Amino acid sequence: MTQKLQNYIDGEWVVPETQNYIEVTNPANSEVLGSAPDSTTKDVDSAVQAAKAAFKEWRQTPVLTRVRYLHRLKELCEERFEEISAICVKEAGKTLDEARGEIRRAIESIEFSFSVPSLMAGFKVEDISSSIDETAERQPLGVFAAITPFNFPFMVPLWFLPTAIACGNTYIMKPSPQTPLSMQILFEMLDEIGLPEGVVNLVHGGVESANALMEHPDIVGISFVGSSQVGKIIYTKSTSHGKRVQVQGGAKNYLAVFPDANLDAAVSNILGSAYGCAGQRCLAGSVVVAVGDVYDEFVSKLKDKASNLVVGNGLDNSSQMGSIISEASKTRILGLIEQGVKEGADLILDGREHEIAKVEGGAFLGPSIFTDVKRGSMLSREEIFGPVLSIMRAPDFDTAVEIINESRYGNAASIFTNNGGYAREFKYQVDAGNIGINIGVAAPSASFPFGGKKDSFFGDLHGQGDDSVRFFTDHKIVIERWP
Amino acid sequence: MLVTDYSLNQFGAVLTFAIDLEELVSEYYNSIQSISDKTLTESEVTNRINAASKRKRNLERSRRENVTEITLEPIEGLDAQNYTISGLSYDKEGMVSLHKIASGFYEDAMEKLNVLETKRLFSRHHKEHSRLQKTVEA
Repeated sequence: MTQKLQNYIDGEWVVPETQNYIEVTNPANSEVLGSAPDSTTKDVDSAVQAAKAAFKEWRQTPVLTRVRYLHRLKELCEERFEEISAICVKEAGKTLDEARGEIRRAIESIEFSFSVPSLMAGFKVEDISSSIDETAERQPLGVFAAITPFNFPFMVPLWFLPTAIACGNTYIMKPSPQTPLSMQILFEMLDEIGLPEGVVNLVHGGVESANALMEHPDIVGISFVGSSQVGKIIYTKSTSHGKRVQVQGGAKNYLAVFPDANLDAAVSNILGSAYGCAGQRCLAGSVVVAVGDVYDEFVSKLKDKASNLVVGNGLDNSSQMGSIISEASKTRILGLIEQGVKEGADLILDGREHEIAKVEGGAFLGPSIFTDVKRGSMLSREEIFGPVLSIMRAPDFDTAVEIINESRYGNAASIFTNNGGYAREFKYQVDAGNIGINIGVAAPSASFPFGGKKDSFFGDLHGQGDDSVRFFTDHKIVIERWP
Repeated sequence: MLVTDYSLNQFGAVLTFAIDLEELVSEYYNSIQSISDKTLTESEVTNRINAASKRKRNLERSRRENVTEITLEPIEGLDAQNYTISGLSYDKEGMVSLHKIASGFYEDAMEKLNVLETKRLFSRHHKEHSRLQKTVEA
């Protein structure tokens, strides 16, 4: 029996007003897992009213009490860890290890929110003028919302929600309709920890509910993670409605490999970077720039490893790479592979021909490698969001940096080298928000802001770290005198 | 019998294999309790069951807590067939074989893991099984 999901509003599960439901399928085998409501503007408004009503009392709740709820949430996540991991595998198509890694990172975000009592602290100066004291206090702002993507269905919502409510705000979550089941479990746990009604709310849906969130006058801030194309629309629309916004967009991440790099380690790192989550990550390595004479040996080692990756259902312990999120996405990636071939790049490993282990059907695609990719080509410029790695040549350090900085994206870039001087210059000169040095996926941990530049980020304050506390609060300056 | 239809080619698979192995050790000593083999006293057998349960819990915690980006890199050179436990007799010889195989698995696997906390855990388990083996042999 498949599950018909409900929204969670004002402390209870509610059947939404909408009659339209979006089917949720397992991309590895097309099994129907459930259906999510395509909520309406009215459904969103119910959630906003509940969150708005809950804000006054919630912000008066002592901060240590607010954080204590999140301690309980963390414990529940640990108890249900394997169950949540399995759900992520089924709805997002990733492998068990990838799902476990995601859940661990999500829990780290909850743990970061435990430090809000310290991070929210303001400051005061006595006698700023005669008998006048001045204080800067941090205050929560009201109702926030997040519109989150399919690829990390449990983790990305937790980048925002725990810190937002620890700061005293109330929250509305709108997950991807492709992967809503993880939020079902999260909100079961949020219900179990006994938060006051209305503090956290869940609204499933697509375009209409997203628009309703962006336009609603009682929502003060929006967080979004997804493609740059959609992100730009969300940023423009939400800010025009007076909201503070943070948009983490798409990427085209470059990895520069130098002749003095530990090549085996670099290959292993880059393999995980390019093909982890079947390349469907904003931090996935997409283009390798092989500098100097490292090219041939690097390509040979990488091709050998990639061709032996076990691709299959993520619930199988042997699977090292899972499926693409949908047949539609797979078709899109196949089109880009075809375009890459027509551009004249050499497809030395064709993922379309990769054997898929013990599976019939499903949106699977093996790892692909293009070599002799030219500057300015589609493969060097466009985000593919699939298991396709391009390799370019560069004669020297300066050319490699030039190539990388030509990208309109600025999410991540990595260098593989044993030369500290190159590493320093790389992080200094490359125009990307997250830099990896001998690291294939430069993923910041929860206590650091998630960097991003150019078309990879729109806004002023990033997700995670102390940026997130500043996003979810504002200073109030108090100047007082007692005659 | 410890049977796998999956390869030990990544972090999660190796941890899952280890968890299943400790489950098997518990089951083995549970079976010994109902047989009148005198190699070990009743309390020694109970201790071994409890120790296996504890190792299993620690492995499950490590699988939850220590999985990171780095652990997505493939592991090579570990063959589950080399650590298959089947048809062990419920006597001194069987116990020695059980702990020898388990000890060997942990020793080989810890070389393949690049997560420090999990390496430490595997090293401890390797030493524990070696000690348990020697206690039976003495």
